[in-house]
Amino acid sequence: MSNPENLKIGLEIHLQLKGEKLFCRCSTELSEEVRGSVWRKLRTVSGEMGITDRAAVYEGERNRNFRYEITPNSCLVELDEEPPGRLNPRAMETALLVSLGLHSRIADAIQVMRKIVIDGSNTSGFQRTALISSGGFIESGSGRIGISSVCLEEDSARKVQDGPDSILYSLDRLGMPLLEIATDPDIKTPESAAEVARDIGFLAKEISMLRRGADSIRQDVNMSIGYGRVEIKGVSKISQILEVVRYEIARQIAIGKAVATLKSRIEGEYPPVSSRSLGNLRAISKSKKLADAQNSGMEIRGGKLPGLKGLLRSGDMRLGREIAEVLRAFGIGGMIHSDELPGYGLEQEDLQELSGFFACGADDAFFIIAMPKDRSRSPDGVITDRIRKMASLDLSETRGPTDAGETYFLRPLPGRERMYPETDLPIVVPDPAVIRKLGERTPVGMAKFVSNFANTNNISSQDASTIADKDLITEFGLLKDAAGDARLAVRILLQTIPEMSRKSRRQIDVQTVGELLTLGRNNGWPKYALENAVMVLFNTGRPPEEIAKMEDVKPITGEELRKTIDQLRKDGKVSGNNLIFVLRKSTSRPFDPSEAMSLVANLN
Amino acid sequence: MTRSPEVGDRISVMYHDGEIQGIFLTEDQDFLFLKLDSGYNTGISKKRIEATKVLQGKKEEIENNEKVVVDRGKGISVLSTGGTISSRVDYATGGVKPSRKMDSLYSEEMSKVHDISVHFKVVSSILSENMSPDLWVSVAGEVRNALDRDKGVVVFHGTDTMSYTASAIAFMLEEQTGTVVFTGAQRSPDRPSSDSYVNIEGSIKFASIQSGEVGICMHSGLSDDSVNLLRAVRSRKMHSSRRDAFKSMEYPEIGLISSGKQVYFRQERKASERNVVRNRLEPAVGLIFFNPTLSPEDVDQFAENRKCIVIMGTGLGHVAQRLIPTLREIIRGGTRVVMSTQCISGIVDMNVYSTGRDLLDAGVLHFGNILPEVAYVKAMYVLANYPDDEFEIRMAENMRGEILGRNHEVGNLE
Repeated sequence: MSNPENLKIGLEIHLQLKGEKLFCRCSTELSEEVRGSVWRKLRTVSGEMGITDRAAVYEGERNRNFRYEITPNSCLVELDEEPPGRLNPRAMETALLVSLGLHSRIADAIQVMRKIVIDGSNTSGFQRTALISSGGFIESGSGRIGISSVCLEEDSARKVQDGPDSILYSLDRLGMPLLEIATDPDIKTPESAAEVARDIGFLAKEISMLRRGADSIRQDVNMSIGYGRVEIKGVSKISQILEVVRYEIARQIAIGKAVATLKSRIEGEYPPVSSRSLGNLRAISKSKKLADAQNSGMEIRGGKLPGLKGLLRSGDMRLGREIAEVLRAFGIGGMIHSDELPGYGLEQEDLQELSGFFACGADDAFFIIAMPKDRSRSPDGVITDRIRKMASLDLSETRGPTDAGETYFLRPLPGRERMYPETDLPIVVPDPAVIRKLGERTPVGMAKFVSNFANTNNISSQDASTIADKDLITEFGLLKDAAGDARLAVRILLQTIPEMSRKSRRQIDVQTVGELLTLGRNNGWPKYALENAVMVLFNTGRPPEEIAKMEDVKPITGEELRKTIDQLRKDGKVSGNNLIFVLRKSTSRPFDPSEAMSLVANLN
Repeated sequence: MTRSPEVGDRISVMYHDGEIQGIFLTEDQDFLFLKLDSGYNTGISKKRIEATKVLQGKKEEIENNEKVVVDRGKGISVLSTGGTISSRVDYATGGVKPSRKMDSLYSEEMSKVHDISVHFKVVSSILSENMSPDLWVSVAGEVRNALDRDKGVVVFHGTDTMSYTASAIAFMLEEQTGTVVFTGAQRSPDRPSSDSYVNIEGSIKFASIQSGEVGICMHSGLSDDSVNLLRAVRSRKMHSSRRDAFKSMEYPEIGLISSGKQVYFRQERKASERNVVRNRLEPAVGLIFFNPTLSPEDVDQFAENRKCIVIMGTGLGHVAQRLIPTLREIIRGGTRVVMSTQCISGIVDMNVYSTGRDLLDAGVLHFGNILPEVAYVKAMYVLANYPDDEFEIRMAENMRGEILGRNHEVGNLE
């Protein structure tokens, strides 16, 4: 499918920074340990303009409880038991550097804000965030893309377990510095969105401040094809950007089609949906799903959906799913509607009976849900609001991505009402002199970096690009210093280490490899011996100091090599072209094959 | 519009290479602060500003002043004195300060307690560090009036000096018909995570149980699922920021509400038939913390014009030998000197070491395991309401549960 002409995409790239958390000294390194948990509630409050944010009201209505796992890298700050400490200066420096790299105007005075988020992902009920700079651009493969802002914020708590009434979060991720870079809606295709995401992500890699881990880069994708702005939150893989945008385009086009039909059937505002208890209706007992729900104490309700027959589910029409998603968010799972019947144990005659019960006309559909009896809020308003929203073709909302590359309803779009100042922290005024100094270290972007990097180190641009993309810049530097040779460092980093860890099933960090290389180089070993020593390191798992003393890793060269070859010749083992093979069999020590070849030539 | 911008106006700020639009929030000497459309506040250096223009006048503030509760007859009185619990964010200065517009803040909590009517009254609007004995006296009067009308009373108070005020009320209330519960917040109510909501709900529940207690109700742990009632005269703020900051020192909690349900309420101090307040306090009482450089001159100066000083001594109740002659002089001059311990937990016993015996000989008094701040408040009460020669007897008398009769059990060292 080709992309709609009016497709507009904007990205919010979130980059986790490494080191310490944003407002406390806890580490950004994770561990498995859990040290207990606390249980909390959050309540809707109004922002500084006296208006309550609609997304916050929505979460408040859901009335869920939250439990938080305490981890070794969390303290009273994450627990919302202590005011935030000073803003992490390294994170601030990184934010300023990235702003400079994006030609973004750094604010004269930076105020940390509280962004109300009461889905429990922040113990405080808000996320601390600060606008560092606005405006700017990035040169990407698909042209110049505008930057709207660079913000520094706290990462949210990691969801461990989700439930309709309570959610379990871990505090390990909460408070990690997160750089949020928002682009203008300048991006025209999902393909270039992926490219821009990669290019922006590289800025933090370039200054070696990107945290490593599964979710160290996350994207929020904002998109529109003319039906309002949909924000797809937390797309973790760049390849997933393509999938969710394509899915969302198809979804919105299908809604557009369904709504056109609906409007031809019903003029004006969609009538309010009204459900009633289906109590002892015979058809209900025939569906195992409904009967089970009823037996477990749920109330079975249903109602007419005027004008929606065939639009809930048939072909690409999926309005049923739109309604079900919102109900699920309110804790009502599993809606059945007439487009799905016969099914769920209900037959044609039941369909007719139910249609009659709801007094459905030719174009009308109906729905059946099972809901907890104590649920104070009626589902009718939720369903009516959802259909009216679809009918208005203002599809703007926050959605989430699924692993399958689809999207689902999360919550209404938040407004600016959800922001108010973090009163526990002073305003930060960046020092212009410091910014000028940082200018010397401004990240230059992927393309320029790779070419500079390749030239400076005299390595191929292919290797430079791989190192940059895999965020191995620091590791490369370390190995280069240890081995004293850039190309050998590339070879060990990109080939020897990955290959040997696979074969030996040992994970040995680059630091240790570097130590061994330094020892070897101090012994005067040539390159082939250094590389061989790394293999031995993986094969044996012994510490570098031990390996450096092992007889087997010492290179055999010069007079010693000549004597060995001579002996082999005398024993009649060397014939024709088998020298290297024979030599390898006779000694486990490394040697330079070309040296051996020239020695044998001289012996002749 | 050409007028100069006012707070709340939507304005445009122009400088040499661009323009920023937003809602004008505040300004100081160097910066002008705007709320941008994205919701972020940003500061613009005034040096860079070339011109400002008002684009749109300020929007009418949306007042959310729904009145709280239907009167269902005898209920609970809520008296607000100020503190974090009744604070709102002052967006101009960025600070948190007590507000008087707060009945709407807690309407949800108040209406949750269904069958009780809640009468709300703002008594004062100050942070608790600014509380003083004259305010304690006026709070005591308000509490009495409230008890005459309602079943129980909840007092909103800043947490920093809450145990002082609550202890003072406990002493001044000679007799009481219902429970008086002090509550506060460690996180201000502008935050979704504020502990105030749970604390208020629990306090109203405790206050509706008839008893003769004056207590403090706050979180019992870090979770939002339980609050406890601590006896005011045994309680102390033991953490600067945690929501379970209040601890009952060496004495079990009076009541516990967990997951919205009352787990227990120990009826030790029974309610009386009537409310009697002795609303006098002697303000010339001081509390001083002994430390290694405290000099005789310091102590002498401190005791001047005071009728009683309470010393937080070390260990079992000691101060440096060099202070003893001065203390002797002070006592001779008619000032009472009461020894307490900066260890907080445990008794004062001045017979174990010679320093203690010397202090006793100088006339220093001590009253078992009464908490230092409580001894200080009690001294104000005793001095103002009893004959001078009864001071020692009255101080030694366990009036409100402030002196523990039995030494705490080993193992309960918290």
